[in-house]
Parts: sequence; structure tokens; C-alpha cells
Amino acid sequence: MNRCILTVDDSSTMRQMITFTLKGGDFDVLEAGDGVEALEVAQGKKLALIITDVNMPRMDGITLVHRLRALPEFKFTPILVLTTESDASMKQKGKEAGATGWIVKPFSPEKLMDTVNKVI
Amino acid sequence: MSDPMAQFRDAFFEEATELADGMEATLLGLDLQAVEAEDLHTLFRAAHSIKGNSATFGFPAVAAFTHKLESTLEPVRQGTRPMTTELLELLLQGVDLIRSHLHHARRGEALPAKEQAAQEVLIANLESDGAPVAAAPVAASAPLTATLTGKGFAIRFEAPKDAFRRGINLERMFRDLAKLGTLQSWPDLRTMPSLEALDPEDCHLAWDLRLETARPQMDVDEVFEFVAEGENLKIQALAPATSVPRLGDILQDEAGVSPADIREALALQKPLGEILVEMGKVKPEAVGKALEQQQKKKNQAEASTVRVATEKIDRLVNLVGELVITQAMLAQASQQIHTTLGEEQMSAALLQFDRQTRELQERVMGIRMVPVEMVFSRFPRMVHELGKQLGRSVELLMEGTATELDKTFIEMLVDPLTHLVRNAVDHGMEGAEERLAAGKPATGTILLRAASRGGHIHIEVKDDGRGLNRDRILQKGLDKGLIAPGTKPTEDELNLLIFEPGFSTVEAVSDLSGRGVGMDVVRQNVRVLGGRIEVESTPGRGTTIRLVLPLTLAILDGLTVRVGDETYVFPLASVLESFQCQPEDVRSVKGDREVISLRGEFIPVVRLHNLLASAEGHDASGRSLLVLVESEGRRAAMAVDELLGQQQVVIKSLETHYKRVEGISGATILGDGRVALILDVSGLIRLEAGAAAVEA
Repeated sequence: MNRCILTVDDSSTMRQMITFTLKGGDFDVLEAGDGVEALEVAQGKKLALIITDVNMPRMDGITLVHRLRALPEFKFTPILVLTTESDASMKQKGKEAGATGWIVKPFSPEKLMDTVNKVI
Repeated sequence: MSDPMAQFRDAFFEEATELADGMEATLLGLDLQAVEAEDLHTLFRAAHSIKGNSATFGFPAVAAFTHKLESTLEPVRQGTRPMTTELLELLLQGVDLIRSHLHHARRGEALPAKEQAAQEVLIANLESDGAPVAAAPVAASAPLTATLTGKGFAIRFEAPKDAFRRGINLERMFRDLAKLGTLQSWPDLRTMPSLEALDPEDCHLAWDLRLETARPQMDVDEVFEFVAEGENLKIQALAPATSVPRLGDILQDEAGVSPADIREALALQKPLGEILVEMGKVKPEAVGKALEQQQKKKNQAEASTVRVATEKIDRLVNLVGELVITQAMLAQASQQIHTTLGEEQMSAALLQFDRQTRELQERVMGIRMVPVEMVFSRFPRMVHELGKQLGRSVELLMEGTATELDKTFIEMLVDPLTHLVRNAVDHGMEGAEERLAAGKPATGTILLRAASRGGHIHIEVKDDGRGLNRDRILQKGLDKGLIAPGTKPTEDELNLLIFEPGFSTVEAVSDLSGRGVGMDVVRQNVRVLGGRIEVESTPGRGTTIRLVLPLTLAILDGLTVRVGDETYVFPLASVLESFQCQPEDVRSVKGDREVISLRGEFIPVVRLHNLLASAEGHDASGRSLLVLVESEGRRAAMAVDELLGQQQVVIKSLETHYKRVEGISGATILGDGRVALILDVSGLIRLEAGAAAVEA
């Protein structure tokens, strides 16, 4: 079974936390620092899930979701966006772009695992 | 332990209702030629608040619907969608639906299928920006009424169209749901388009689910987190296991009938009243009346709370604080009462005490008082609708909306005022041409005015219409036997005739004015409140109907009289006049029944000292002092020994301290500390009539 997840965040602390948690859940994890890098990393890979932050340099998360959905191999791949509580409209934007769901920041490792298990 | 949210729910409903009222008022006040941005913001904020609060308090259906209104208002307030007459009407309907939602949610009911359908049409209309959409079949949109045995939830879930494109794993969701308890599912394929029209990337699936679980709804919500879009997900708690399962539920379990089929069948079911009407067993009006009565009972049960301005409560708390200080002063003064200083302190404290108790009494009474606006606020909408329906241009003005009235009054005034306002629009107003011909502006004006005048509240419904047709009233009165032939009624008497039971000058009772109560009920309600009606009318200039009400039900304007050694109080509202009469004026009929002839009318004489057994101290000289009283259309002359005076008395209930006594409506404490009974005039008349019947 495909257990590879791509995590996209410009904060390395955040990426480390996500990577650490997911590896604990027996997943392979790929990392990218922004949308542009994410597209490069994802190319040719079979991914089970993509988790992306919204605010990032070069290409933001929403644009990334749009771009991924336009690619045949990621058309139906689950994508989670990380949003902040104050940003309710972001959920809607994410949904419109084609995101599967969202995780509200700040979140605990347990919450992350729960949500990941919900969509995979 | 009860639900901690429950205590806030009442407040939520009140607030939401107020917000809806506010939306309506704002909508009706909009000038479409020059829409104020602030008004649009107000509308948006109201919808937004209702949405947020109803979601918080666990009414997702209300939240989902107000969300639609909010999203409609958003572009309007941004200026990208114009506010049109059509949109205005749709939004007014939306306000009605919010009210209906709140009304049903308060009773823990789902929105009835009919309104559910209306809601869907409305939403479609709001979204389509004008072009009307036909009513959807009720069955498809009915809420899941089939509840099941066991603890858990009945869920209706329609997957979002973009579920596949968003990479949503529906299978996973169902597996997660099944982890919560026992899951049964019935797929509903009715929403599936034909093969040619099918886009395989669109999701057209819907399910009726039954989840038996002890887990809270939150856990279920969680599963649907990414796919819930309000309308597409309905979660209802199952009926408790103790209740007998419904037929539909058993069929669903045992015979494989799907919830969707049951919904469809239920939608075919007719209400009892409708079937009875078809069977010819009952008239539709009777069913309507019965339903109204049922509704009234429901409403009465509901309206037992009163919202009080915090300011009023603060003032009370302060007063109680002051009282405690005064009490301390009194205690201190009483210790040194023998000294001059102590005496001075004592009298100062007593003076203060006196002022504070009086203020306390006044303020506590004030808690029951609510602004008359609570009744008035419904009329702009009503006049707007009526005017539209009748093709008449009518403007409603309101004055004195801040005037405060006893809460009980407010509730009892709703029906009478509704009737008076309807009447004013329906019968009082002429058409535009007739008005112009009479030199009046084409737009008629109705003025609703409340004012406090000398211990009474005056509420007026004033129109500038055609005025009462007294010739026709006279003729009708003669025809109906309400006026004795040969008598010449005064203008006032004629005016008041419209309030007599059985009097109606309109040949065909129209849908508008015929609904609810008649004019006689107006009078009756006002009388129950201890008030009276005055009518002023000038042909061609208009009619003013004035309800004169006492300030509160707890205080009564009374006429104190002496009968024997006892003091009694007549409610002043039922006293017509009082006069001396000689023994020869009173005639005996049928043994010891007595009547007196007054201006050609025979009126029974009631000897109160007999009826109330207060013979001691009664002046038996035969000369009588009579008080002419009237209640519920019956008159009687009550013989008393002395008229003591007119005063306001505080009504105390007799039942709480003793028991109900026929002919007595309550008691009061007089200035000298003695107790006086308050007479119930209609009860006394009944009592006397009963005594007469027994003897006859």
C-alpha cells in the first residue's frame, strides 16, 4: 500500500513536527518549503496524501491545490490545508480549490494523525 | 444533570426573534431608490448573528438557512448585487422562515415539510437572482421524520457534488461512522441524473443512515467535517428506546422499506382536519378555529418569561442595598430611642424607609412593564402586505412606541389591535381614486399611537379614511334588534354599536378582516383588562378608535362603597352611574325579585346586603342608593348603603390566601389597614340570577 505523504510548509519547525508525527504513524514523508518546490518534489511520485500550509513564499497553498488538481495523477489525491482558526474563509477557499479537508492550527500530533486517518 | 446549554436557549430564541424582527423592520424601512449602506450592513449582521448563535446552540437547520440569507446579503452589501423589489420580497419571506424555524426549533420539531419546500424554493430564488423557481416536490425535501428505536442518530447525507474532485474518501467516512456504533444505510439514487447527463467526476450519491450509538453528536459531526455544507447533512437524534417504535421504523427494519420511501408516503398523508373536511364532517372554518385555539394554548405556555432591561434590575439591586442601610439605621436608632438624638434618627430613618418602600413597589411593578413597541412592531409588515393585497397605498405611522404596558396587556392586545388595524385598512380606507376625488392624498395614513394619560394608557388606531357610516349602522342595528325601535341613539352609541356581538356591516366577511377575532372580541378583551373603548369618527375624514386601559392589572380604579359594616370595591370600569331612589321606584316582580325602571328599561335590583350577608349595620329605612353596573352586556342596579369614594386599590388574590368565592374577584387592603373585597360584577349578576332561578 502507498504510504507516502508530502508535507509543504515554509517553516522548518512545522515540517519537522509533521514529519516526525507521520513517521511515527509508519508513513514515508517528503518535504517541500513552498508550492513551487512541492510541485517539483511531487512530480512522478505516487502520493497518498499532501499536507500544505497556506501562506508561503513563491506559491501559496491554495494555488498549489489548484495546480495539483490540474495534474492527472493528483486529480483525486487527498489534500489537507493547514489554516488558522481566525481564517474561516480559508476553509471555503481551500474547498473551492479542491482541497479534501483542513487542519486548524495549532494542532496536536494526535489531531494530525486523526485527520490523516480520516482522509486516507 | 440538565443540559447546561438549556438555560441559554430561551435567551437565544428571544434574541434571534428580536434580530428577525429587526431585519423585517429594516427591510420595510428601505427606500429602494436610495438604499442606505448602513441598513444593508445591519441586515447582514443580523443574519450573521442568527447563523452563528443557532449553530452554537445546536440548531443546524436554522444556521444553514440563515447562512443562505447571509450569503445572499453579502454581494448586496458589497454593492455588486442590486436591492430590488423582488429581492426585498424574498428577504421578507426569508424573515418569516427564520421565525418559523425558531418557532419549531423551540419545540424541538423539525421544520414542516411544506415550509421545508418553501425554503428550498426561496433559496433557489435567492440564488437565481430573480427568475422564479417552481416549487420542488415535498417528498424530496422532507426532513427525515422516521425516527428509530434505540439511542443514536438518523442521518440524511447528500454527498457534495465535488466530493470526488476533492479527493474525499466516502468509503472511509462510512467505515469511521461504523466504528461509532451500529450503522445501517439506505442509498438514495433519486438524485442520480440520466446516463447521458452524467458527469462521472460529479458525485450524485445520497444516503439515509441510521447509527445506533451512545456517542455524542459531536463525534458524528466530526466524521462529516469536510463534507458538511449545511443543507446536505441532517442529523437527528433517534427517539428514546422506551417509546413504541413507529410503523415506518419497523417496516424499515423488517421489510426493507427505505427511509426515502417512507418520507414519500408520509408526505401523502393528510392532516386530520383536512380529512374530516373532505368527509363533510366539519367545516374548514371550524378546523381553522380549532387549530388557532391549539396554537394559542401553545403560545400561552411559551410566553411566560419577560425580558427586563438590566438597568431596571440594577436600580432594584441598588434600592435593596439602600434598604439594608436604612434597616441598620433603624436598628441603631432603636437602641437609643429614649434620647433626643435617637428619636431624630428614628424619624429620619423611617422617612427614608417610607420613600424606599414606595420606590421599591413602583420599580417592582415596573418590571412587568414592557414597551408597547412589542405589539406595534408587527404592524408595519401587516399593513405592507394588506396594502399590497388590496391594491391600496397605505402608510403606517407609529407614535409613543416606548410607552410601557403590563406584559399581560401586551399579550392580550395583539388580537384586538390586529383586528382594528386590519379593519382600518380593509374597511376604513378608500381606494386611491376615491381619495383623490375627496381632495385627500392618494396614500392613506394609519396612525398607531400609544400614550400615558392620567393613570391610563391610551392606544389609538387612527385612520384618515371614509369614517363610519352611521346611517348604515343605525339601519343594521335596527335590523339586528340591537337598537329598540323608536329610540334615538346618540352618535357615540352608534359608533360603539360596531363592537356589539353579531354586528358586522360588511356583507361578505373578507379573508382579511374575517380572520381571527371580531369586533366584539376586541371589546371583550379590552374589558377583561379593565379598560374601555372610545370611538370618534367624522364622515369623510376618518375614524379614531381609542382603547383606554389601566396602567397595570395589579392596580384597579375602584369605587369604594359601604354595605352594612363592610367596605366593598366596584371596579370603576364597570360602573355606569349611581343614584338615589325612593322605595316606590322599585317594583316587585315574581315574588321578591325587584326591578327598577330606568329611562324605559327595566333593570334588576340586587340587594348586596342580602347577597353578601352583610346585614349588620344595614340601613333598613327602604331608601336605596343604587349603583348601576354593566358587565358582559348585562346591567344591574346594586343597592348599597353609602358611596365612600373613588380610589386606586392594589389587587390581592383571594385564592392564594383563602379560596375562590363567586362574586368576589379579589381583595385589597385599605389605607386604614382593613381588608375590603373587590366585587366581580358579572359574578354577582350570575349569582343573583341563579338565586332567582332556584326560588322560581
